[in-house]
Amino acid sequence: MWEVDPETRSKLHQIQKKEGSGNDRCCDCGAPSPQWASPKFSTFICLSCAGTHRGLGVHISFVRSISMDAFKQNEILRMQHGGNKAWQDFYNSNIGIENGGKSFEDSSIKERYESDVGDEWKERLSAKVEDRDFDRETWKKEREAYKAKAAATNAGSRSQTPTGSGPRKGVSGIVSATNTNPTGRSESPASRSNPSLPLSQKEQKEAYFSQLGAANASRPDHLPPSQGGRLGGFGNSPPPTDPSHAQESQADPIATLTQSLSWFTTSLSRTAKTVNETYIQPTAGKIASSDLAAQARAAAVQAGTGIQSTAKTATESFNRFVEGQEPTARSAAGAGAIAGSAKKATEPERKDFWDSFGAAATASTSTSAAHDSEKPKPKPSSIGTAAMKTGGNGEGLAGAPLGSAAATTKGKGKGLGEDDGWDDW
Amino acid sequence: MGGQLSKMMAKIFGTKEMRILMLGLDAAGKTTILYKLKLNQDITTIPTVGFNVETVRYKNTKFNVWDVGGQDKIRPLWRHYYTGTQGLIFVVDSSDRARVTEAKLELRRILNDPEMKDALLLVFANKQDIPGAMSVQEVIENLDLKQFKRRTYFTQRSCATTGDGIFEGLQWLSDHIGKVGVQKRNEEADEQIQR
Repeated sequence: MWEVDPETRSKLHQIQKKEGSGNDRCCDCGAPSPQWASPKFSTFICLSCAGTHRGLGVHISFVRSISMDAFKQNEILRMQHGGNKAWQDFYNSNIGIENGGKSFEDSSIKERYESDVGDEWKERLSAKVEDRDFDRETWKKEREAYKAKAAATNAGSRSQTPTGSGPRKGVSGIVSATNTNPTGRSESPASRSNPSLPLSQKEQKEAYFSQLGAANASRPDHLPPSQGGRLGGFGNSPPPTDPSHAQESQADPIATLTQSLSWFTTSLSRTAKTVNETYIQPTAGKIASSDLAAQARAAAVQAGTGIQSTAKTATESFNRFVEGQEPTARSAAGAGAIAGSAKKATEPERKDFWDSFGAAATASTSTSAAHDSEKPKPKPSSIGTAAMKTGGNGEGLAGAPLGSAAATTKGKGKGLGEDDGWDDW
Repeated sequence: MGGQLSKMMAKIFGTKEMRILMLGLDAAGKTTILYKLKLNQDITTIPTVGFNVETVRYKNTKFNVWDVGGQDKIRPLWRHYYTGTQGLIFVVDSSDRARVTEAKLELRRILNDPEMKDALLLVFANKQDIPGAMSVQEVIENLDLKQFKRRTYFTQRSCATTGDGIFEGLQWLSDHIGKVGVQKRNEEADEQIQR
């Protein structure tokens, strides 16, 4: 992944022990046996100074742990070519306007490492490691050009930029001077510094973050934050897919059960709605336009009467047959009715609904066809269903009204058989 | 059923609890973010050797934030913190272009772990105050976040020292918790522990 020197540890140990290098103490505070290093500067530092170094940003000082980080070849080389003492000496030999005329000992870590002297030291080290000559003039020119470019990019926006703790210091300064600062940024520190408003820490924090959010929302979106733009975000929310749903089902079966039950109810009511909209309403319209319903009812009544009369006739003829008389020549409908009614006649006590079902259906179909031959073809079957209920001698199903209504209406509306009417349920 | 009940309780009393794991390369700003959230102070941190854990209340959500050190050789220890994590905050130093590929590999390794399968991902593109820092788009591209198609993620620009952007990130986490079915799983795990 990244080139790790297998002998990092022993090499660093050797570098630390080198006589006169000053590497056995923290470069910045003098604490003994430093366990951290800044390869960019080739210095060994202690844990707390490492923290300060990290705060400067990786473009200034990149901190590595001797025991917990892998050093690159290049970083080891840098460590070998510099040293704490060398860096301190270089800094002190270049005291000038750039570093405010202060010696290494008098400067803060920030001043030492962010200074131009620090930049030059880093560049010199790079030259040494890469085995090339360091040309100070060229470097200075390049650096000036780079600085000018960076300044141009950030021109006019630095005042809004949230740099480090700078703005916050500035804000508290404003607050102590005047309390009428109109910008949102000073709101929270103001309330915090106001002793008459003893807010809890939580409230303070929420107020602070919400005002930060408000301030952020008001910033322009097209600029980078270093130039005062908004700190926006970007994300992804994949739609819930089946695998995860399946997992959920496994995890919580009761919830799933409830869910599917509610799904069932929903689909049931949806179907009912569909039936109502698609079939019942148009049919109602049709009823209004023509008196098909009246005809159907009449046909049903006729069919019912037909069954009864056919059954009667059949019984009579059967009796006549049994009694030895010649059977009367009959139509196909009559014959069908005979077959059905014959059974009814022989076993009147044991007959149940389903027995009469087949017979009645056959009988009614044929009888209604016989009675009302001018009706469209599919209609009789549905009417037959209704007729069966009517003509079934009060033996229909308990829930029959709903079913028969649906079947009837469907049969009328679509001109289909009763099977489709039931299939939807 | 228990999950339903506690969800209802959470709705009535309006509190949620969330276990957050905060990871990222060393010096990305994890500890600074944690203490900015906890204390609302810009403290100068020292490199984390081991971990820090703090409970942060924000609005109606209680975040248990675990911040684990990110040095090269202690990264293999991250996986010991994965169990029960509902949200991963991955902090990236937006000014450190040299190591963003390393960050990408580490992030992929974390997210490929089965224990992190359901965790929300919040990426903080941190250190936005440094000139020349990568934009959100650049961070997304460099981390190759688009490869995680099944993941709910959000990338947020932030500046830990001022607290900018952190609020938005937490808000996002708070809004999306519970939408992934992680909460339920954890409650079950807790129940098992109690037994």
